[in-house]
Amino acid sequence: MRLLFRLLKQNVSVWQIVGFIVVNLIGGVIVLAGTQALADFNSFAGGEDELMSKGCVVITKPVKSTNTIGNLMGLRPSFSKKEIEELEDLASVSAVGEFNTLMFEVKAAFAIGEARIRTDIFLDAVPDEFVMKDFTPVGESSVEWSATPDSDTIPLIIPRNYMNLYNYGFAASKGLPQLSDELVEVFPIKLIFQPGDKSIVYNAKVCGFSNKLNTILVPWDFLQQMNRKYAPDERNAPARLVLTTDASEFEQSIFDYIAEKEYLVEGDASHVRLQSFVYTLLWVVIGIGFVFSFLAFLLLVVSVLLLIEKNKEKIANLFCLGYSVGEIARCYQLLALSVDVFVWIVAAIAASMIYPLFSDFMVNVSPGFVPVSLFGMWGVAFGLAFLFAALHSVAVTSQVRRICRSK
Amino acid sequence: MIERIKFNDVNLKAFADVPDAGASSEVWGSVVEFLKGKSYLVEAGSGRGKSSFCAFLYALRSDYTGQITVVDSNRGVLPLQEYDAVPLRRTSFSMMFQDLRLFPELSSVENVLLNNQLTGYTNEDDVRSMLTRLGLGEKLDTPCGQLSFGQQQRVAFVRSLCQPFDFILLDEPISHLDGDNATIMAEMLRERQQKDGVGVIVTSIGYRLPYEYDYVYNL
Repeated sequence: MRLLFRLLKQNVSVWQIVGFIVVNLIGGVIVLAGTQALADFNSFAGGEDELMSKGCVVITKPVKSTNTIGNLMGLRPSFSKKEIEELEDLASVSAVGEFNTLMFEVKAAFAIGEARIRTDIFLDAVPDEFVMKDFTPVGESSVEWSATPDSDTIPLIIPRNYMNLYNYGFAASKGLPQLSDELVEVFPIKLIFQPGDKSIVYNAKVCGFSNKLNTILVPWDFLQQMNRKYAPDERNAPARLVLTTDASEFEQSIFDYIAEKEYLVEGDASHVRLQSFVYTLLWVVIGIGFVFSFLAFLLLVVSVLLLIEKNKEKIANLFCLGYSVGEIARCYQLLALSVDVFVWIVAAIAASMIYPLFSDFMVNVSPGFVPVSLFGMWGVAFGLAFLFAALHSVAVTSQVRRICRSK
Repeated sequence: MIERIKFNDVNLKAFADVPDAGASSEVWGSVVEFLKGKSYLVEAGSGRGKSSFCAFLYALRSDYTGQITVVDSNRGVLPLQEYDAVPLRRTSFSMMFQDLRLFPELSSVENVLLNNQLTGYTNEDDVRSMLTRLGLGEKLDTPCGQLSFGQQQRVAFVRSLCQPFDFILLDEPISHLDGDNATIMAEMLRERQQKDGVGVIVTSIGYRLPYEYDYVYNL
């Protein structure tokens, strides 16, 4: 096929090919670096955590001066059934979970080193499906997330930031040992429930951390049964709600609605918004890269089609001699394939070299930021190279066929 | 393998509106058969549709009425149009085009090898030897664009021989050749016909390739 290649590659416009390479390199580097940034950010933001990926906010009602007296009387601001239904009806809300609170006193007792600590705590529960979405197990914890009043050991989930508060605040200032995740798993805790004048003691074990559900959680069924058993007359209207929403629909409209109703967003709403903003920004960057790449793709299509047009007579003569459309087109297909693969490999190499400048910076400013492997980015590069080559191939073959049929 | 080609009341569509066009032809509007192993001369003056005759036969065009059928030893009798053009031109028909269709940037040898590499019918040494026999020994590696038309005709002739075929169609093969080269060309053609028993169809507008024709038709 050497002769055929020599014949059909005549009239190749080097400058057009160079133009394609330059434009596609710019687009390719942007697309690939953006893709890598997206993968890293996804990982950093807990991309594998369903709650994070779907988006989640915890909302409360504000304490107002008008209901302060009620608060003093033990009546907390809570969400009515109607308000919950309205939230559930919002198009972008996929589920609403209610926080339920233990309605009587409970204490936790534990020993750290020589210090024996006994303190009042509070326990909440949300339906298990919300907990499991926000659940990071501790080590190889085998504790199941379920319990009844008859159980010996009650599993607990505590907010990750409680651990940080203890390790970097309390423990450091009191000279107490810091607790690793593994230590927490085997850390003995006793929960002393005190409904009325009774005292019921359970063993407790931390089986995981929550990222957003900012409270100490026990299984939903356990808390419901304890309340029914020991505080049947207490009113337990939800004061906090957790909303989940699909990431693609995590829209400003939710926050607008929350603001309109004067609800408060707990914890990391700004983080969620920032996350949403960063995702949008990255997709915009990747989109710009794609625009460059698409323009380059069109440039190569035009270049190769012009080349074919210039070689029209040769192509027609080859067809008359017995060459098939496929054999003639293969020459141009290989030209497009080699240019496409070359460009995307160079773009991937360039992105691999440039991207660490950004990721190193991110690691310095955000200690939790761990860049993921570049394999995914290389996969994207090869995928796009072959996608472009396939599209080029289709364009080339159809043009060659048109010429052959016209003769 | 194609054993015979039959023109059955074939007429150019372009003749449809022209009174008496093709009326005196022994091919247009008639039943004519071309048999493998035989040699044919198709003579025609200008405007008699000689280029069209070649294009129809080589399945380049199909703007005709009537039917061209072939008898294939493997596939039976079927219209020429049902053949896939690519294998037809590689193994059944070879053609030396009137306008030659050489590639001016390739040398004489390369032009032949470009066709030969489709089938691997012969090798480069034989190609060089055939071209040399036709007086092109000094021009083997010269780009065809630098050769005279007569020299190019000889290259195109060698190219048409360097492939397998049942029929060879030579469209005015010696219009720019001297008698000696025409004779050598005829010898080479005869050798091939005797070796493989191929059918030979030659067209002419008066200057005949010196060959022993079994049939002569006026177009």
